[in-house]
Amino acid sequence: MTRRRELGVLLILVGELALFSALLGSSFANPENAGLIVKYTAIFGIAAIGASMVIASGGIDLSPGAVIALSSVVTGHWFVATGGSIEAACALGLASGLLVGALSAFLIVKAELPPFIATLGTMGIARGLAFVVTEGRFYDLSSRLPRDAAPLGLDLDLWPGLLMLGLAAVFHALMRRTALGRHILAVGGNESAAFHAGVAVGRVKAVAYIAAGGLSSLSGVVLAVVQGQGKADLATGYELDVIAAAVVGGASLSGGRASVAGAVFGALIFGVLRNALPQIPGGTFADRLILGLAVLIIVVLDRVASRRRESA
Amino acid sequence: MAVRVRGLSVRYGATLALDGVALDVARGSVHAVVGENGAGKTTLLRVLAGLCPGHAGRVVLAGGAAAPRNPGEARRLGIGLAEQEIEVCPELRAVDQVTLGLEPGVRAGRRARIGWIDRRRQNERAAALLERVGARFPPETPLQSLGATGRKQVQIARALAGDPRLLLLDEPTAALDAAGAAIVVEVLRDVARAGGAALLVSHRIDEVLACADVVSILRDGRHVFTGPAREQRADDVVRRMVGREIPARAARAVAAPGDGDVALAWDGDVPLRVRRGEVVGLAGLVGAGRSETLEAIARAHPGRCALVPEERARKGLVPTFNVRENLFLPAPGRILRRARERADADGWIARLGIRVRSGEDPIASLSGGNQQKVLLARALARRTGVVLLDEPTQGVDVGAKAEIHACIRGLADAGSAVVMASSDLPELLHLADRIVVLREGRSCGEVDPTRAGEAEVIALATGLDGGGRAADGAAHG
Repeated sequence: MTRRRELGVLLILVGELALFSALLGSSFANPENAGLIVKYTAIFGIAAIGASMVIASGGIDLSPGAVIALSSVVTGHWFVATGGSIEAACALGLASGLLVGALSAFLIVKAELPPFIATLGTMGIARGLAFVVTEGRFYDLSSRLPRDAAPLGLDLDLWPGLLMLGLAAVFHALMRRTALGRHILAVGGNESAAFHAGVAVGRVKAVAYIAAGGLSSLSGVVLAVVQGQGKADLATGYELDVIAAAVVGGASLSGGRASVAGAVFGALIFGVLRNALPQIPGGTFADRLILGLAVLIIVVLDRVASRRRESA
Repeated sequence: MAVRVRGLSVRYGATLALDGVALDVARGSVHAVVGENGAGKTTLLRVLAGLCPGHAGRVVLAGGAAAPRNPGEARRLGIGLAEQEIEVCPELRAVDQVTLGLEPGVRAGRRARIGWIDRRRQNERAAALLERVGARFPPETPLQSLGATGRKQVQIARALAGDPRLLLLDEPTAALDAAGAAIVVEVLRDVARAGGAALLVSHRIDEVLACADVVSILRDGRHVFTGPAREQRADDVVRRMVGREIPARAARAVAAPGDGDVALAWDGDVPLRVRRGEVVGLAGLVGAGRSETLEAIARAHPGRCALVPEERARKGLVPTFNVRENLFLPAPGRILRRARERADADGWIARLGIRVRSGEDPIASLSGGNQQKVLLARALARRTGVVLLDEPTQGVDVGAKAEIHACIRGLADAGSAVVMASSDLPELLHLADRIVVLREGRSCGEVDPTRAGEAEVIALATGLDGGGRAADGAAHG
C-alpha cells in the first residue's frame, strides 16, 4: 500500500520535472541546476527522513528547524571561533542534534509529555541555545574552508545529495526490513496493542526521536559546510516543510504509516518547486502559496484514491 | 404507562444484544432488570436514553413520544441515565459535571446556551443534587480527586439534574457501600412517588428484590420473566437468569489435569497455581478484577507469559498492519525474514483455520472471530509456557467460538498452562478444569465444573447467601 504511494509521489516528481523542463527549457533542465536542486533539498530532505520515522511512531517533532540552526552554529563555532578541525566540528554539530533528540525522547517517554508540547519546548531550547552561542554573530565557514575541498575524493557540492540518498536508503531498509522498523509502525498504529504484545514501546519511541534529532543536525551540518554559514536564525519554519515532505511522501499523522523514500521524494518535489518558481515571472512571490496548495492537492488526491481502492 | 416496549431488537455486528424484547414500566414504580453479563440489560437502558439509534421495534414513552434519537432529546423528554461505566471529564469540578449541558442562565428560568451561566444558582442546584445522592465532599471538588464512590454519586446526581420523569440507573450501587446504596434506593423511590418511573439494572439480586416493585429478567437478549419483586425468591431469579441447558462437556484427551509441573505461581489478591496442561477459568462480575489480575500477571512475567487482552480492537490489533504483521508482533529477530514469515503465517492460518486469502490481507477485512484467532496465533507463536486469555470469545459468532474453544483446549493438551477470564459462564464450565471466582478484586472461592454449575458460580460472584460463607464452603468443598 505504501509502495503504491511511493510510486505515486515519484510519478508526481517526474511530472513536475517534465513540466518545468517544457516551460523553462535548458535554463532549468541542465546538470548544474539539477545539482543545485539536490544540494538545497538535502538541507531539509535529510531531516524529513527523521520526521517520517517520528510520524510513523504516532508522534510529531517540531524541532527540526531549530536543530538545523543549532547544529550549523555549533559546527561553525568549533571550526571558526575555536579554530578546530572541520571533522571535529561536524561531529559536534551531529552530537548537538542527538542531544536535543534525546531530550525530546526523555520528555515524551519518561515525563510522558505529549510529543507536540515536548518538541515545542525542545524547539525553543535548541533555537535559544543557537542564539546564546552566536550572541547575534554569524560564522563564515566558507572563508576558512579550502576552496577545492573534496573529502574522500568527492567534490563538496556532491556531498549533500549523496548523504541524503545514502541515508534514505539506510533508513528505508531499517523501517522495512528490521524488527525496529516494524515496532515503530506498530506503536504508531496502535500503541496499546503494541504494548500488550510485548513491544518495548518506550525504547522504540526514544529511538525515533533521537534518530530524528541526529538527522536534523546532519541537515544543519550540510547547511554549515556547503553554504558556508552558521547562524542562529537559519531554517526558521523548516519544521513544517519537513513534516509536509513526510506527509506528501505517505506518512499519516495518525501514525502507523510512513515511508522514508516517499519523504525524500516529497522533499525533492518541494526542492524543484523552490528552484523553478523564481524563474517564472511572478513566481517568486507565489512560491509559498503554490507549495501550500501542492501539499493539500497531493494529500487530498491520495485520500480519494485510497477511498476508491477500499470501496472497490 | 411510563414506558411501553414492543419487539425491541438491537444488533451489534454479529451479536443480537436484544431480541424482540417486550416490557412495560408502570408509572409510579421502581422496575428492576436483572440478567447475566451480556443479557442485554445495559443495551435496553441505552435505547431508552437515546444512545442506540439503530434499534428495531417500537418504544412508546409517556405522552406518546417515541424513543429519543440522541442524549439531548432524551433529556428534553425527561429521561436521565447514569451509565455503568463512570464517564466524567476529569478536569471539571463536581458542580460543573452535575449541571453540564443544563447550566442555568442569568435570565430567570432559562438555560444558558451561549449566554452567561448563573454561577450562584448553578452551585446551589448542584450542591442540592449532590446532597440528595449522599455525597460527602465539597461540590467544588475536581472530579479527578474523587474516588469511584464520589464519581458514581456525581453521575447519579447528573442523571437527576434534568428532573427526570424516567430515571435509568445501570449498576448504581456497585461502587457504593450499604449506606450509600440505601440513599440511592431512596432517590429511586422519590422519583416513583412523584409520578415518574425508575428503571434499575443491578447484579445485587437480594438488594433488587428488596427495593423494587417489579422485576424483569433478561437472558441472551430475550425477555423471560416479569413479576412482583417482593414475591420472588433469589434462587428462583438466578435459575431463570441462567436458564438454558448447559452443553455436555466434551471428552478430554488429557489424562488427569493437575499432574503437570506448576508453570505459573502467582501470589496476590487472586492467588493462582496453574499446572502445565491445565485450563483455569476466572469468573466474576464486570469490575470484579479479572482483567486486572491477568494484566498484573503478564506485567510481572515479561517474556514468560503471552496475554491475549480483551477489547481486541483497542488492545490487540494494529489496524495498519496486515494479518502476517499482526501475527508476528513483537517481530522475531532483529532483521525481518519476509519469506520465512510468509511461510510461518500460512502455517498458523492453516492450523487455526483462519479464514483469509493470505497473510497479506488487511486485518480489518477479517471477521471478529478470525481476528481473535490471529491474536491466539500471536500468543502461540511466542511459545511461552503460560497463556493468559481475556474474554477470548467476546463478540465472536457461534461457529468461530467452537473453533476457538478447540484451539484453547489443544493449547493446554500440548502442555501450556492457560488462564482464561470470561463472562460467558457456559464457556468457562465447558473449557476450564477449575474456575476461580472473583469478587471485588479478590478470589472468593473455587468451583469444580464437573460438580457445580452456573448457579453456584453466580452465587459466589454476587455474594448471595451472605457473602463469605458460600465462598468458604465452595473453596473447601
